[in-house]
Amino acid sequence: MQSNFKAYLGVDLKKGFVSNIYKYVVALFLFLFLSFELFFSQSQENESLIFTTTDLWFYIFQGMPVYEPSNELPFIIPLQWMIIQILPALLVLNYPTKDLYSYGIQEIVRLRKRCNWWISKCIWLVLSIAAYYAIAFLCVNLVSLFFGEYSFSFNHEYFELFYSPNSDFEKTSFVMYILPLSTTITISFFQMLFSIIIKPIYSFFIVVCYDIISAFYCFPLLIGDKTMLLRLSLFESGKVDFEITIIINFILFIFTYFIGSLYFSKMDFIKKG
Amino acid sequence: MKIKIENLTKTFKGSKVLDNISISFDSGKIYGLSGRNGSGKTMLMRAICGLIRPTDGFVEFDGKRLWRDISFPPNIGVLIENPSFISRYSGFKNLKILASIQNKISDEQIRTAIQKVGLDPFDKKPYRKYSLGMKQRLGIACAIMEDPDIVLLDEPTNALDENGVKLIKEILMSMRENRIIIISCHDKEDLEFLSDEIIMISNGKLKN
Repeated sequence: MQSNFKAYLGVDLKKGFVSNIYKYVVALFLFLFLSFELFFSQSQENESLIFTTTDLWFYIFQGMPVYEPSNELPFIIPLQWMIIQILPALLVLNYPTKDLYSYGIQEIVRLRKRCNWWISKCIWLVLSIAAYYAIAFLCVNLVSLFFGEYSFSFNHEYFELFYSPNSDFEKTSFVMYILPLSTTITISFFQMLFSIIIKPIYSFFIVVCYDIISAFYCFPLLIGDKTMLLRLSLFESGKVDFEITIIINFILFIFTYFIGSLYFSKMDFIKKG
Repeated sequence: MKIKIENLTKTFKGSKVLDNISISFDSGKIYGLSGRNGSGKTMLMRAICGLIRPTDGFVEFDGKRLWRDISFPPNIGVLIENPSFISRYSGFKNLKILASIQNKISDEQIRTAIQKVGLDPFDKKPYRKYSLGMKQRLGIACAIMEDPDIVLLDEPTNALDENGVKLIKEILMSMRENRIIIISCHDKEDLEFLSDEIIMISNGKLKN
């Protein structure tokens, strides 16, 4: 049975990635655009600034500082961050359900185990989101290699000019690479589960709303804002603790996986009208 | 092989789509499910496949009960509603992918199944360029290629011309020995032509 699952997994991953190929191309252009934008906007103001790979990464995933509601400061949705979060939601949008109610029926009957289909989709999801962040990583690497400084440390001049980092933030730059990825995977898991329980389009809007609420309220279970690097406790204004967030992400990830397994093992395969 | 269905009931949003169905199917016969659209034919097939969970009652395969002892019927070939395949792949490649999951038939056997339904196994044309009739034939090839003990074909004559229906009849007749074949069709004439025994369904109930 294991070799059967392996064969199925290979086919499933290929189908899933090919169905999203255009979305990955959009992601590539988006991340290239954002990387170049930093260069061109900042170098006009200060020609001496040289950006490193991590500077670019930070710029792309910075989000917004923790929002403190007040009359003078209205809440404005951080558009750049929102677009970056919507793209993974589009990646997860309809492949699992589309597959489930078409070709997937033939596969499930042959797999003879419902859980194998679910496990395969979970692996596809993790790899899909990882590929999305890998594209971002590739873009910042390429742009910094040719136009800036290929380095995983920060440009102090730039950071101290625009942000207020704590003294130990330099040592933990890897956090900036891991946290957005793990958080997006966890949120995408909710989305995939909802898309099977309700409808893909509803689950998409639920996730978008969840992200917006997360940007507005700071609460441990509203993890959407954990993809905003400016909210990391590495910065003076930040409240997001890396270790706690990773633990919460992991717990939610496992929880969603088991709820999904349970639901899928009992669900009726009938297309929702 | 014997399929035993006992008091099978399925309720959706308060309405019974299958209502207390009890019936047995034995090897060597072609059973035809007849009924109007929405009468419960497809739902009964889904229940036999293990795709829906009964609200009450059960389906057994040689004493092994679905949802208790097994998740899906052993060795089954199905065509439920419209066939659906990967649009950019040829018919052969689509079937090869599905066959790789159980890995019990060779490429030659896949080609034989495609040939049986009147398609060219070496045709490189992608599935999206197939006509409706060709899609239907490929769906039938997919259901029979692994030499299953149980074959469920939901509306197999959809989009097929007279010759196509005759060909399906020949295929089913050649396969019926030691197998349970259940087909559904809303066209009474086609169904009478294809099956040995007709089972009428109306509003989710079996009609005598």
